Amino acid sequence: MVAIIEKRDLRDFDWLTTLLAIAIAAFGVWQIHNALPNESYWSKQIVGIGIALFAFFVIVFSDYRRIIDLAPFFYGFGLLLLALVLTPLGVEVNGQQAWVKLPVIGQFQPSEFAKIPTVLMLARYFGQKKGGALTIRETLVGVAILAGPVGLIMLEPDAGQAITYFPLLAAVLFLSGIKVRYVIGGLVLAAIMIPTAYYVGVQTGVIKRYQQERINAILDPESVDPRGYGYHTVQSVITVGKGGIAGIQGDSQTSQSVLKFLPEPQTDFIFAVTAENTGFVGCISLLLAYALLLSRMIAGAREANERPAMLVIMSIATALAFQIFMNMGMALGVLPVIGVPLPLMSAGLSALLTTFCAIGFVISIRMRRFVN
Amino acid sequence: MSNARRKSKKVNTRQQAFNRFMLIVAVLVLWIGGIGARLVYLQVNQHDWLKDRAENQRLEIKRSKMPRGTIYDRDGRVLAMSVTVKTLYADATQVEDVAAAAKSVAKATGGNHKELLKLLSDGKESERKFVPLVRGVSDEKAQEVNKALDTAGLKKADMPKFAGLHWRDEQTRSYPHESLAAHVIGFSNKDGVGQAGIEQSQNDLLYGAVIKRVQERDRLGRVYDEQVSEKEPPKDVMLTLSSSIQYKTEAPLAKAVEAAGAKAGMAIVMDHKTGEILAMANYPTFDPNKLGSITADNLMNRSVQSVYSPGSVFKLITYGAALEKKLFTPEQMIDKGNGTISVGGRVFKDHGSGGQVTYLKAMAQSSNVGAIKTALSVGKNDFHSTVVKLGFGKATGIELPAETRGIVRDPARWNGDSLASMAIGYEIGVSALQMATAFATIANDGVRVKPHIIKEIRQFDEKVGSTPEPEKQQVVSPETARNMRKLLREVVVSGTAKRAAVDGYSIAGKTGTAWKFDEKTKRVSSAKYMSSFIGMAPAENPQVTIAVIIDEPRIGGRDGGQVAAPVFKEIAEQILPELNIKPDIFSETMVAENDSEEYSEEPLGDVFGSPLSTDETVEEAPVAPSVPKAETKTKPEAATPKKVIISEPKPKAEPKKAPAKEEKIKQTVINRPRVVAKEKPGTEVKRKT
Repeated sequence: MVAIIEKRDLRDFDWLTTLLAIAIAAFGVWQIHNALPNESYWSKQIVGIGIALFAFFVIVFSDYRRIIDLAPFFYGFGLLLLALVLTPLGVEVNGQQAWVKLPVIGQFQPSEFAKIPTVLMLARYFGQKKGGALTIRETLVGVAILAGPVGLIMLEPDAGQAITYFPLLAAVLFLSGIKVRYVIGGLVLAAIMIPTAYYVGVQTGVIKRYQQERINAILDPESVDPRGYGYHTVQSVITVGKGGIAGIQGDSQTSQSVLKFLPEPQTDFIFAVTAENTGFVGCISLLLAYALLLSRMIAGAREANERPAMLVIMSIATALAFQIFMNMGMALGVLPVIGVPLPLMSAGLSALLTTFCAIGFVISIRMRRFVN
Repeated sequence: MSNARRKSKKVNTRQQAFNRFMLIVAVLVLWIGGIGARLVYLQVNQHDWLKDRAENQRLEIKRSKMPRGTIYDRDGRVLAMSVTVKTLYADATQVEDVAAAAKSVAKATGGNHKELLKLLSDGKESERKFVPLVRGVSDEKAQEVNKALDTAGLKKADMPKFAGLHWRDEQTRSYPHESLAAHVIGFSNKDGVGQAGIEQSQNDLLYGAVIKRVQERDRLGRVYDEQVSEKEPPKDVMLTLSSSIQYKTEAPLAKAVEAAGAKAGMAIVMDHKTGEILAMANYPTFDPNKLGSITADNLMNRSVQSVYSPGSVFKLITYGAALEKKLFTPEQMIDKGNGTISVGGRVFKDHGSGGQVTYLKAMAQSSNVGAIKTALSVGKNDFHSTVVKLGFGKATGIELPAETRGIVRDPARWNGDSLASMAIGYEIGVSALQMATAFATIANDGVRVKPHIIKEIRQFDEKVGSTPEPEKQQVVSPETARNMRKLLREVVVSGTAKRAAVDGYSIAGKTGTAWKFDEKTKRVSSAKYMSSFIGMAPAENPQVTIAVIIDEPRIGGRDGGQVAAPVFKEIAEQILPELNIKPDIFSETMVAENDSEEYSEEPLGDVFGSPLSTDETVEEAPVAPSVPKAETKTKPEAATPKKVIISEPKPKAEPKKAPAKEEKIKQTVINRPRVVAKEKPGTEVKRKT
């Protein structure tokens, strides 16, 4: 593989984006350590970064075109893994069967990995399109591609993970010329449907009580029961606010996460941990790092000389942005608690590996922008 | 044309793609701005409040109380103690499944399932954090309950390992001897605050110190930091009371009060050498374990809180004052004249005939005329100063709440007949303890020792601090005291108190039978008596002073010699051997054992027509027993001070006794003891039948 690395490739290798991603991941390791200094999550995360970087470089130095060509194969493989979750090989954690435990490889989360084949599949299909508005048929094909993994994930059920798939399709459809009236119609429909669905869901019992409570915790934080399901939100907001401008600085023994007041500090609420330990300064720095990362990706998309490549990058960037948005919104008490990890920061090998692979595609595309 | 259109369309498509691209970027920028704004709001604007919340949620302030101090008697027997018990309670907000919890608790504690379920569901509904389920659980039982309630895998820092259930330490006060010495010990309320007796007066020492723990805890309740602040631990109080003597005092008193149908009774046993109160009994009494049984009437420690006119026992002071001025010797004769005396326009009358008698006989017969004449010879000021020196008119300072000062008026405000009235124990208000202390002074060769009831203060089973030596004061000369005892001895030997005599011991003492002041008629009334006997033994070298006062005896013989003296005898018989006091008379046979031939004293003697005191207003304090409101919180109906008017009594209703009949009382004294050495055998006593 090294043989195919050409000088030109190295010259065009996007060091800044790579280093930015590694820096954010390293920052994440620090925060995971802050969250639970006495547990091994942070050291596992370092190992995870190592593995992820290996996968990252493999992808960077592979020809993305060939991979996109093989997208249906990967997509099928992804669906297979997701189906595997639902077999006895799946592992149930907190009422969700979202994990697969395989011999040798160990335990992982297929719903994270499946994002990459889904992106590739979407890019491959919509990349072949030549101009003009999107037809209904094309739109439905896109929905069908998404429906495969999302359907399987909903069977786990893992609503939080399923939601992160929608931006993949939305970005692709939007950039593939879907008619504005469909977009507006979709938004209006969503505006009507979401409350209606919520109401119906509550009435029929599809939306569980804890989910209602979590939504109520956002809509009406004053009346929330701090001991009940609103607990996560309340504690996260307290943790963020406690950090102040410069963070708690050295008082880590009485941090919210060490004292177990903040739940899931190493994954879902890693941003609250960051806020507590590094304060406003740290949060804004992290935010700017993400913004810079995303802007580099978007720049890559603009420079991409192929439509599928542009769609891959934009789809990935949108999905990452959406995840960051969801996770931070949750930590800051403006969005309901759904288990969306913060890309590059949250502890978890599957998410880390997926994110680095995704960035790997972006860099691979950018590196080959002049190659035809 | 079509080419151009296609071209423009292509441009439009590109333009549109770019626009949409930039729209996504714009959304991202907006989002970053939103996150930033929210961060500023939380981390800058709300920082202080949220930080406080973070700190408060890990703080827990726990207050626990050390058990209240113990009260012991002089031998270390426990009179009052606090027992720590546990209460199982539920934080209803932490209990998820009320029905299951009620079931488990009922099973573990043997409690009533329905009641527990109701408690829990009511608590859950009103979101109460303290729902007591089972009270008064001992430590051992609590551990059994913990075992039964243990939920495997539950993360919870305190026992029991059951969601929402906790223990709380509480204490209950226990009085193992029930009503014994109840008035002295008093009681404390459920908050551990003394409400009467020693419990009240020594509350600061006994009070269970509050330990305040400021704990920092994590979410599972594990404590990682703790600051403990505590007050001085409580001390124990050891009383001078002896449970045994107290019991032997209470039992005869209660029996006599019941038998006489009396309103109340008091008895005090005092070691006059040390001032220690060995027993202080009151009847009616109460059981401090049963707070519901306490009433204002049975709670009152009359021995120190109630004021009464002593009557003839006060002649002790009258003769004492004269002896101190060396105005007579016991064997000297006094002229009772015709058995009446007029002072300040009032006629006081003896029930005996007039004529010459020795002072010994005058005292033994409780002659009013003799006493009044003696008082007149002493004079207003010397009489008053003796009264004051013997401790009347001011509180003794015993460590008991709401002690009365009694009533002693300034000589400047006396009427013409006041001195005469006071000579026989009227126009003066005393407490039983004051009266007993006056007798104790005589018993102690004129040295007045301040009475006290606390022997020492203890902590961790060791004495703490120094008990100050009780105040001692030579009030009258030893010679006066000795002569006085001679007079008192005669009262028991041949006078009004023969029923006080105890086999083997020489008893000295004085009876008193006073008419009580009637609230309704505003005069002293012959219908209500305050009958007493105060004495000491052995007469020559007294070791113990005992006072017995019966308030309003109604059945049988009502005067002091008949109702109080026998109680004295019963108490003395039992406690003298216990106190290791050696008998000093080996055989003393009183020939006149016929009750009907005994002396009885008249409360006031015969008073003809004239008022005892002409509408005299005593402003100082009420004569009627009452406790100043400020001093007793427990007494709901503390009498407000009233103006008491001692006014003209009704002419004596009782028929005059038959003329005196002389009779000889033979006294055979074998191995004549010192006390009676000077007595003439076969002393002739003039008496009325």
